[in-house]
Amino acid sequence: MGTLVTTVISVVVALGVIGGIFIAANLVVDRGSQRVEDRVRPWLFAGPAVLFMLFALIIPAIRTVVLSFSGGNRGEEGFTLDNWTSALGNDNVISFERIGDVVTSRLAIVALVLAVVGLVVARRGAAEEVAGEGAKGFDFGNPLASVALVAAVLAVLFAVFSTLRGVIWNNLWWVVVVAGFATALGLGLAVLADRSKNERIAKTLIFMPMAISLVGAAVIWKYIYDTPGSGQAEGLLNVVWPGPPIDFLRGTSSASSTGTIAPWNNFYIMVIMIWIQAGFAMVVLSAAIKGVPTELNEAARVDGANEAQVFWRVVLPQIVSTIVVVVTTLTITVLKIFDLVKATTGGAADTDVLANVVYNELRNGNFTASATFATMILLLVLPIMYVNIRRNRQEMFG
Amino acid sequence: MADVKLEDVNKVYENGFHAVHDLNLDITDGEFIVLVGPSGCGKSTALRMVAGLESISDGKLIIGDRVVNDVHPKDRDIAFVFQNYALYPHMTVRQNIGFALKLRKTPKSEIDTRVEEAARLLELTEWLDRKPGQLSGGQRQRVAMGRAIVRRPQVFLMDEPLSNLDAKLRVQMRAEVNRLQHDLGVTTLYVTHDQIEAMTMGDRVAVMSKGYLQQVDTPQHLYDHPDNLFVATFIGSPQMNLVLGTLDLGGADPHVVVGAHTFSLTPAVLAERPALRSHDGADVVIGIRPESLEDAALSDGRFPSTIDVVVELREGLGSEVVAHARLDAREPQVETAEKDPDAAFTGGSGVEVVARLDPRTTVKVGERATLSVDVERLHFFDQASGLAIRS
Amino acid sequence: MTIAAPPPVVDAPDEAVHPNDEKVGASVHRVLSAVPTTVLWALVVLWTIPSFGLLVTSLRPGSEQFGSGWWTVVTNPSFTLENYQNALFDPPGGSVPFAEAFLNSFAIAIPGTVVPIAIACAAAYAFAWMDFRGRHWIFIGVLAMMAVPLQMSLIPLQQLYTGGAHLTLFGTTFILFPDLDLNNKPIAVWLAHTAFGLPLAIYLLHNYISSLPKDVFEAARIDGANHFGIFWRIVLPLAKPAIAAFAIFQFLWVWNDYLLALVFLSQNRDASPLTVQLVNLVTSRGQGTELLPAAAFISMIVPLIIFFSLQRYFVRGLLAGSVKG
Repeated sequence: MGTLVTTVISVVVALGVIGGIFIAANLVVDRGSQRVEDRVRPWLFAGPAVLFMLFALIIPAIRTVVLSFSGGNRGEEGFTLDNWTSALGNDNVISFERIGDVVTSRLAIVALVLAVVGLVVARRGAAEEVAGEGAKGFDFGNPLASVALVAAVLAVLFAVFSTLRGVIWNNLWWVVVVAGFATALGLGLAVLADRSKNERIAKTLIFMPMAISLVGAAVIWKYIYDTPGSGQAEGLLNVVWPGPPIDFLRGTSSASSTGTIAPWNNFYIMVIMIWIQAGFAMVVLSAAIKGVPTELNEAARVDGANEAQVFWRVVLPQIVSTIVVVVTTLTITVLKIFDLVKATTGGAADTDVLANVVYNELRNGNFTASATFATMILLLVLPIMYVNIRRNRQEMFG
Repeated sequence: MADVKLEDVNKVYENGFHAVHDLNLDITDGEFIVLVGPSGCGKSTALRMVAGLESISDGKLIIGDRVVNDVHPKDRDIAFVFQNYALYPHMTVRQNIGFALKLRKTPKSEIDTRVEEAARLLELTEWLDRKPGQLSGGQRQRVAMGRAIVRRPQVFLMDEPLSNLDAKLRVQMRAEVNRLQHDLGVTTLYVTHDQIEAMTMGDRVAVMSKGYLQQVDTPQHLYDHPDNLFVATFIGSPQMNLVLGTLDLGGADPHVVVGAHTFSLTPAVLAERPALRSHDGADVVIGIRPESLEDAALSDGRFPSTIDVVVELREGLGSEVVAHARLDAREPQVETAEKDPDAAFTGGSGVEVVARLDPRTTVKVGERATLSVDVERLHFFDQASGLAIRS
Repeated sequence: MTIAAPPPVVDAPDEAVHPNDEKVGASVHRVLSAVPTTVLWALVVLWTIPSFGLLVTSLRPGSEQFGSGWWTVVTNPSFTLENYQNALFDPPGGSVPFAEAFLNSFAIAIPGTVVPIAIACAAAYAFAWMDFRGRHWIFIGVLAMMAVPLQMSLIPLQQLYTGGAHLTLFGTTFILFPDLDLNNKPIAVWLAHTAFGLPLAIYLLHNYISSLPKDVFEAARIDGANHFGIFWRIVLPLAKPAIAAFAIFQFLWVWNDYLLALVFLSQNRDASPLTVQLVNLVTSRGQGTELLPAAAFISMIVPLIIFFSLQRYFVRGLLAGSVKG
């Protein structure tokens, strides 16, 4: 209770003092000439925010980058590349050791089949359109062709990420799985909801996990994934799972020949994130779908399109930009994923991610190593940041 | 109350656009002046400079006997009525009207009486505790007016305040704004793009085009004696007809040749426009107001000059017939106000002329007709400069 | 129907649809149109089971929890509130009672929400309606910072909190930021949240405030309001929906945060919020495991109340904002 009261009092006092200074400064500026006023007033308003961001975001970010190029645990030794070379040279961080296995993996074969199917369908679609004149190019307007190709790409990525080991590969796997599945699921849910009764209640329930903490979500799913043992009951998934129980999070299994399902245990942690973020994708995409003018759908129907064609050729192209926003938002969120991994496995059993390494090195006092991994996350985020800024600039400044 | 003087006022935007050129305007105390012109002519910019919402690049603005170029809008003692009303959506009508007084630390009781007085004047009393979102367009407009009058300012500035109302309400509000202004006797500068509004409301009308003031005068004088082609074609609807003619004043019968027709110019015409003499033998632009044309069959030979035309469109309005017809004559290549949207046909040979005829006329679409021309009411303009040829 | 006109060939299939067939078609259509609803609700059930399971488990006595899954309550109902009571007031092994952690969470989340809003409103107004040098570039910086991972700030912020910031130029040392020894105090956490919340707050509020009609501000200027007056009497009241949307977004974010509390309160477990205490309980292995579901629900109750009562604003905030560092 004590902390709360002191905090509330100190916040009220702080806001009062800052507000008082702010108002007083404004009064002073009021008395100045128009020119002085135009110069000073904006900084009175924007200054506090700019200072805050300068001290807590910009300077720290620069310092962190500098730290990643400094020697010693705390950066006391001057410029060096050692942090980067030792991080990137570490097989636990990134390894290409089993890259040959990717090609021979079952997933790669599935991907190949899917790709062939997709291309054949697309080719035939193109042939139909230019009837008689000999097909040129591919037509990806057909749902089957696009879906097959997207699935093929996903399968390839899965093959890569489940074969190659290392924290960075893991992080990328997270991005692909969570951003991909949550967006796809969200889109499916949004379309379903659009045609369903009691849409609002259903959407609320699916959206609900967005409100709770990742830590809380980890606890919720613990009771789905648990193996029967000392001090815990069998999780729901193991009850319906055919075969002997598996510890889905730590990957230990008596079923597998090697006694582990790693690295696929990663996938079960990702499922928790998908469970949370699908609701986000659904809400945003649902709003976008409802934003497509009804006349457009009606016009397409009058033109002879069926439901699937209306969605695929009219609605979907209208909401592409929203889908991009959802994917980029999810990507940024997932690249920093920490809480879920920390609260489920703590990074053990091949499930480590960059943000967890950042924390562990920080706690162990290896500031330079921690800074190096933080900078890695920044590097992965940069392309998305660029895309975001460009999009916003276009919207705002034309 | 106060008079307002603009002396060589200029507005040049940062991007180099010169919106207002050397504007000179003298508004006497209590006068209602309308600034009119097509969109983008600089009229709103001029108004906003008077309000202090735009800085004045060059020149002097005087309200009362103060130069107020560098005075804050709030200290100029003016009130502004915006096109979109600019009511505060989160405040009630009462708070909206009283906001300026509240900021001036007027005692609460006085605010109340003044707000209620303004509300009574504008018949807003029963809406005082509503928010703007719950009001109709006309009511919002009144609230905007109320916000202006409650201040008892020296000057009213109004920026197209009626343009968002439907046609019927607009006519009604025109009268009401005029009555209010007259009763309060506050100097008013009113901006509009609607020349009918300008003609009906203003004590004087100032016509602007492309950043330049074209002419300031009473509405009737502006209509009867436009200084240049822009004013001539901007004021009046349907627009003044323009044809090219050649003056021949040498012989015993001074006349002007328009296509195959000859209009005899009476001594009265020439006496009123001595400058015509200097254009003898030259091409001049002749302006004919639609009401200066009559069906020759009905005019009992009052007007000896006539033109033969082919009728292309006949619009019966009940009180009159507006006929669009083609005259075999040369079209002047001059810059005028934007073409009347009523002008139905463009292109084709000859000149399209519009005539307002007596409803008894029998002219038919596709047939020839003879129209008589009231030569005394012709307008003559120099083809090169576009200026009226008068004295 | 007239018999005179021979039915065109193309229309033949349509002509074949007689009233009877139409009825069949309608019932088929009815069945088909029920498919989306059925599928959706099946997914809703799937989505809700994990949370529902935890809720049921939290109400079961420890011994039952360890022995059988929560679904067995159907045949063997046995409920207790003891877990909640123990978690709130009497957790095992000397860990912090969740009632205290609950207040700790508030002590971080309230200032972590109020302070950034106050600062961001002023800044958003400046970016939207004031002209000043560098405005464009600073705003682009704000956009960029929305995506910068907060991991980039952890170490430097920790050092700033305990060491302050100095700049030594020509032998003179300037104190840019005093050593306030903030680490391990709640203020360390909510100051960090304030900074990390600012970019999104400014972005959201700027978008909203810049869309307000310009003539309302001009009317206020003529009515005699200065910039502060316009800000206080016009902008803030009008921006209420945007402020509410961000407030909910930020409050949930801070309340649910784990990383910043973990880093900046590492030496002060007594001040730690719910998330940190919950993970401590997860990793404690053994002792007090039966309290875990109840503790988890205690940590979720405030977000859930906010979510269900203010969902409209929450969604609005989500739709308006794009990314958050």
